[in-house]
Amino acid sequence: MSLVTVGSGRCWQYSHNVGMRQTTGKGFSQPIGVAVGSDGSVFVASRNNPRITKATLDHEYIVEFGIGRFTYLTAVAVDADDNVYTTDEWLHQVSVFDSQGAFLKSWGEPGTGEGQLHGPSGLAFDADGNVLIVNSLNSRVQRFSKDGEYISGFGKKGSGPDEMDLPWGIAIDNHGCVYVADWNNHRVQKFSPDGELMLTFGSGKKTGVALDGSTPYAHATVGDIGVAPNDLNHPTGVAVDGDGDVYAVDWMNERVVAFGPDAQPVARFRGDAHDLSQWAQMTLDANPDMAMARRRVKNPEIQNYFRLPVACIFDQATDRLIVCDTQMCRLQVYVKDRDYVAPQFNL
Amino acid sequence: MSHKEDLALMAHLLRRAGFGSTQEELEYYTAKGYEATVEELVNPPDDLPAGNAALLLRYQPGVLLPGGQPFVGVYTWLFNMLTTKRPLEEKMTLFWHHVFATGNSKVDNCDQMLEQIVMLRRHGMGNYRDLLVEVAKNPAMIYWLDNNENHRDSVNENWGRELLELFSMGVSNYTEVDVREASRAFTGWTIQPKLPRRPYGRFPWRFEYLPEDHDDTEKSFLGHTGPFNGEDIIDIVVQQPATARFICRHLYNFFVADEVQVPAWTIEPARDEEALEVMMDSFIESGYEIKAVLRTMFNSDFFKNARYAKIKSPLEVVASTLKLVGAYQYPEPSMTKLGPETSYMGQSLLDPPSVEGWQTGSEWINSGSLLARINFVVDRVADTAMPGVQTIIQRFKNEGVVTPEELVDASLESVGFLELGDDTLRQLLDHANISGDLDWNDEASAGTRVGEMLALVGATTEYQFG
Repeated sequence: MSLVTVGSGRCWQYSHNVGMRQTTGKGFSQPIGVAVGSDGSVFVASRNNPRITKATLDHEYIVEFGIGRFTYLTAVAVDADDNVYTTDEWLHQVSVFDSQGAFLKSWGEPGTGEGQLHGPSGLAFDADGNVLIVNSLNSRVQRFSKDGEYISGFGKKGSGPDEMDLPWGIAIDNHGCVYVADWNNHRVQKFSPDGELMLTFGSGKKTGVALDGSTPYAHATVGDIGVAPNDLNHPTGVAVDGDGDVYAVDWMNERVVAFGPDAQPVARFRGDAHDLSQWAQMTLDANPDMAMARRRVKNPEIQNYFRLPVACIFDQATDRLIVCDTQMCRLQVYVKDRDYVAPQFNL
Repeated sequence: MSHKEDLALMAHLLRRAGFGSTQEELEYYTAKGYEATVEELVNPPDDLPAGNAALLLRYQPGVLLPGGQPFVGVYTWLFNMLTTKRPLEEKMTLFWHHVFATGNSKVDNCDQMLEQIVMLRRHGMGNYRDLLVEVAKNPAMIYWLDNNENHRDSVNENWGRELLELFSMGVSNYTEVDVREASRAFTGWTIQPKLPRRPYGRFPWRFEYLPEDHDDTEKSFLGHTGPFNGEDIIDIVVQQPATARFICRHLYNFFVADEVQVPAWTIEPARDEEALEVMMDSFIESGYEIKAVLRTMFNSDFFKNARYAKIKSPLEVVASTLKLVGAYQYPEPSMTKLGPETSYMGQSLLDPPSVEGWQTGSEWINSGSLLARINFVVDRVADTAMPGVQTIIQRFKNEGVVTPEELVDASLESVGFLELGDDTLRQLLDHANISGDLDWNDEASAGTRVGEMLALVGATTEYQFG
């Protein structure tokens, strides 16, 4: 395990983790989306016991909301007014809340036509305040006004160069280019703001675990799974930072792969949560049997790793990469360190 | 053999070697031919997936670590059964779950139960000796049968006893001394302590061999003497004629025709001794290769002639019905309701009543379970919105099914060429005659009548047999 990830002249420092497994209150239930508000607070979307939890990265629990409104809560994003937008891929709906969790409105018409929602998954705001939504079930990306008026769209189902198959996460860079996690084609695609394919990240070759269709009960990162840096296995989330570096959540291989703007892989993150989050520590303090059970474990390193992570975002205001470590019910936080000086190897 | 007879025979094979079939699958395999289909089932190409776990995990990530919730595990496994392109592999997984019956009631880590299911899937059609070694090292099994409490200086005989009694030879083929010696050989076979379930969730168990806790002194076991370790015991066990008989009788009971219950096997002769001998020969001559005995069995006349000689297990009722109606190819939220369905019928998957597994055949049927079976089937096949039922309706329309006789015949064919007794057939015809011919100009009404007839077929005594 290394708490510093270095690759191709870049450096990321593992910072800490936030959260734990909990069905309500201080904790998350399979978090699959996260967004950052203007004050730095985070909004975490839990897929199980679906809800949005508002907290800070300093472990302050603020509020949870949306309980009872979701079936398949899929993603969360925050607009410039700090309103919280969510997608539900079963209800084919966008729901909007204010930053304190008060419900404002829902919109979305189910269907496969232009402007209709069909399994809406990832969503992200562009610089004009419009929202781009991934329609996973008919493999399209659509741009809407914040009130749900259809503006434009692109994409179709398939495995060809500009096609997608059950796409999921989405990110937008500082130039308005759109990155989509093309889940079932095992790649990330970069499109121009108008939807023209520009670049592909990942080989498109699925390697690693669970290739036979079985459930991956063994932890992918425990052994050497022999996966090439460029191979993605069902990528779920994508983020892009101010330098144009792209982060793909390599879901089934349980890692995040960082690519340079030229789509060359530059680093891999397996998860580094060697520490307990503050909420986790509180739980252990209150459950001495669990604390004792931890003490007999010979090699607790498995705790550090991502377990089927789903989403990530890059907060340019703080240079933080925040990963939804879904099955571990926590966020792992990294900081892109622009002043890193590598110590001599012979120390 | 007529084309219909070919279809009926193939339907029989796909019921037993899988979980039934859709019409498209039935026609595809029939065109392929019987022996070629057996070969594909026994040796599925690598590119055929064993399900679509990724799709389920995408929509319901909670299924990865169901913890103490076996019903979540059950519908996770059911999704595999419905989406696999390697049906015999999955059916063998179910078979071994009957034999190596392990229960979440004690394990209380359903993810570990499902990890055991994955192990059975991967090794269930391989070599029986290798499978036994995997089972002996399986964490859920080790905890279930207390081998983590089996120490050099404090022997626990639970695993050693069941290895001989229920997993290989059967009672009356070994002594209490053999149980003790086998157990000693498995001392030190244990599981590593794992991180506890709080605060981040469940972590997996891992097998661990502790040489310092293993009794490496001499043992006498079934006439052999040496400082045996666990694998030595398995080698000796596998070579016992009683083992081949026990495993083949299990296979016959599961795939061919209902036998008496396992505890009676020492006093009741096999239902078909000749068939059993053929299977045992294949098993032994191949070096205990499970594929070999499966190939022999499915290609035999005793298998082909055993249509409807078995009462369907609850799991077979549920899975074959869902497959027939085309349900749950997409992981809908309502899948969660599937979890307890087989329990209502007397089979709590991943939670068998004991290490002996379930009693089968007529034991599946009582007044409560029969009602649950019929209601489950009727509710689904009568639902004309289900894609599989829609396909059946369209086929009836395209084939010009009009008269009551044609409606009954076509419905029986749709559920796998079900064979009815005269009384049952007359009752179905009487009902069909009440409304006369189907009028395809009113497609909705015609479709409803098809659904009703399928429901009546599903409620017959004969439908309880597979």
